[in-house]
Amino acid sequence: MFPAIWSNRHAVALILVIATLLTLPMLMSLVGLPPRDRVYSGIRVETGTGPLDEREIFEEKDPVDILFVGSSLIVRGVDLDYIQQQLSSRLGRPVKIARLSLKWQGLDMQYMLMRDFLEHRKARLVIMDMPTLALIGDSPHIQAYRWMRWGEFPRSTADLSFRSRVAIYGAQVLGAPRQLVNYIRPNRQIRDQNLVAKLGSQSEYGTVGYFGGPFVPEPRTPPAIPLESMFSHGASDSNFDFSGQPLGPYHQYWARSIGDLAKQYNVPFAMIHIPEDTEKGMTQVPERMYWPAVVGLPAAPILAIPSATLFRDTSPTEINNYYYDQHFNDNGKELFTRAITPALLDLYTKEVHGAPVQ
Amino acid sequence: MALPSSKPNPVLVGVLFALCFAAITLTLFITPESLSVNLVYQAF
Amino acid sequence: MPPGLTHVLSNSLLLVTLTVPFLFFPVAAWVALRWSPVKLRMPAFAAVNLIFALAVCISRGTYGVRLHDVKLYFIFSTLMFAVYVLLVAVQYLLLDKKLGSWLPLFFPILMLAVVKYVPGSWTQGFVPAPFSNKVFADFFLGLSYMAFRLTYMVHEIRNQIVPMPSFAEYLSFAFFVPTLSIGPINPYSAFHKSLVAPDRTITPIGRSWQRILIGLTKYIFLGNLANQLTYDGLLADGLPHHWIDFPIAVAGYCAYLYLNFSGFCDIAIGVSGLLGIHVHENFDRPFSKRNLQEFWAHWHMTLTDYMRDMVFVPLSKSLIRRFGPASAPHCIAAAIAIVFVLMGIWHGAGWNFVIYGLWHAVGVAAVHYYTLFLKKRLGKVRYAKYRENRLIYHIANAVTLAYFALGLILVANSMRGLRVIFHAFRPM
Repeated sequence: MFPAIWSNRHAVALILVIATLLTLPMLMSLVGLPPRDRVYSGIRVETGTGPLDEREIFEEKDPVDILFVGSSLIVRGVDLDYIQQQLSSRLGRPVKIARLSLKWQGLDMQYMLMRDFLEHRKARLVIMDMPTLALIGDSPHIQAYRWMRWGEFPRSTADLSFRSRVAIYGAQVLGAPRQLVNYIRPNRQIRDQNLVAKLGSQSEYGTVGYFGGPFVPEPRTPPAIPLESMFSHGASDSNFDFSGQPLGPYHQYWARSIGDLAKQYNVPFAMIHIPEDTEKGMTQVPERMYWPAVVGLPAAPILAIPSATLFRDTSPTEINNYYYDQHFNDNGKELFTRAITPALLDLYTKEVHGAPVQ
Repeated sequence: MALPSSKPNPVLVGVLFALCFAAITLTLFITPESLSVNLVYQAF
Repeated sequence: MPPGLTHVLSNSLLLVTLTVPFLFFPVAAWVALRWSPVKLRMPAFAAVNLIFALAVCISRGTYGVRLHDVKLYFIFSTLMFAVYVLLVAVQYLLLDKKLGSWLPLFFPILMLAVVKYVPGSWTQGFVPAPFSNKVFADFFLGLSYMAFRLTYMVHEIRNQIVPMPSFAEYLSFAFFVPTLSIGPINPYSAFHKSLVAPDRTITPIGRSWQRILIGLTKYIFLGNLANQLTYDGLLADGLPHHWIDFPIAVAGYCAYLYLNFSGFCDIAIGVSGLLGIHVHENFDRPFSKRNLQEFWAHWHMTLTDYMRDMVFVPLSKSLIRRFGPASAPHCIAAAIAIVFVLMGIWHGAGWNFVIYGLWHAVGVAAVHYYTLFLKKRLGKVRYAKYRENRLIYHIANAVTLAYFALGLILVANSMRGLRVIFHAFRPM
């Protein structure tokens, strides 16, 4: 049997390699990290709309009226063009709506997107979707190693548990070799702006049927829904069920950080619930926790429509035609957007009084 | 394939093994889905 | 993660895929080998190997299977494993009854060809729809290695290096868990000798533990970090890339492959060593070699040994007999070429693997001719001096590594994958 270590030189070489890799995040922080936008050029398209996020955060400069932040649910659930058009009509001026998202849920990811945005641009209203049961476990986002850099994100881990802090450091170590490449060369920009908008958006699923079945066009006009019923009114609101499986301490930490960020930048904050296929027939909106308390913003509303209400005029067998898996296809996206938009417009009017961003 | 005639310095070996334990332990804290579990040669 | 995937096997696939073959199996195997009555020792060891081989097959494949479909997956995997065991048992019958014929040599290769190399449409229909994303061949874990292991056993028995094993020992060898997934392609003689004449000097316990630790570090830690800079980790992300990312990915994949493969082999060799079973080495510092011929004698060495004994030696002898001793250099070159094309095909079904084999066929044949040329040109003394020259060694070593690393692009990517990668260097 060969020895594990052949010589002193072999041992020293391995020590240097392993020690360097274990401390690489800290070494990079000491030397000076590459520019933050290079992090986004390392987020692969399968992870979501990284190129669009990069453009919205680092290249566009205008303030936005509404910023949506969330997971793939929000990408497939909300038609931004429709909302933009409706809000422009209401206000009598052009409005700008932006969206930042990545796939797989994680409040650390959503905090990162929101923070990077607010550090570079202004937003009048931030609307975020909160984790569903698809968020399993209580550890960093599965792609967090692509954007967590020691000394920068997160800035402070003091309030996190030891386990979470080690998990974050592990993600930073895992991602460090890829971050090293960012020192060597600049980003390659995608010139085709249509491609930037499309990459990672899962738009190809817009006309896909339920779990690969045939796509059946369905009516996209929602039933009449009372405006006030689409807002949450406290923890005991009968339209909501806040007794779901609570988030673990790691993601609750990021939820509080999101609330703190909204306070820091004095930006109104709200949450939105995109109904999944598993909510078929439910008369209440299922939520894992009472989010306003979790994020530390008691007045922040949740905009939501119970699935049974949204699909009141749809037969149970046809409801599946609005989804391609737990995500809406174009049928569902348009139906939901049209249903929730009056609430969005009302929220915007109340929160920012319809005035342009200063 | 001649095996080495002398053993490496035990202090160096100890340091190396401590680093190995640290590296393995740290990796086990990383979100499992972030890691590759593929056996490259199994794919072949 | 697919929705509904909330069973324990998905939570840490890394832990499960390592603990089943390298923690639970060795404990069970040690109990079977040390505590069973002598007559039941081999049957107990065979049973342990079969049970844990099934567990490895199932645990490796369960990721990506929805919770809803897990029961069906378990049933199907178990049935496929039973078929696998049956095919291996048929080989034993052929070995026992038809040792003198071509059948025992042909049958494992036929098994491999049918499962792995026939068009997917012929076999994929057997895989149930809920997990039809899994390839049919995936259900025969380590089949490429199994086929070589069993045919080499025929060679050793025929040449009277080892006696015909009992059925229990045969099954233990065929399904020996540490080497089931990716080898090393351990000869039966090493396995048999370890059982009948154990020698702790060959598998020292301390050294076995050290191999396990270093192997885990390479496989779990270093390999995962290197994976960030491979074709998949760096280039195939759907985004445009600077040309400098290409050499980074070439080097990154080479490092990842070595760390992943040799790391897992280290663990397999170490765990086998703890059980007192000698498993042949697969790597001997391959990145320090000066030419491709020496490289292949130190990289995936059990495959090289197999190809040498089963293909190269008989083929080159046969060619020399046919064409005469004067043509020996060309016969050897032809044999080298054929061996490497077969080696390429063994790696996978696809034109990229054939080209990979040709890449190395050309490389190693070139080394063969260049060596002959140098020896003739320089004479014995000057050739020895040439071999001692450090500058020439470093240049040769760099060229060898670059040649090997570049060739890996063909095994790391399908033809479609290659198109995606080269598309990344064009403006988007």
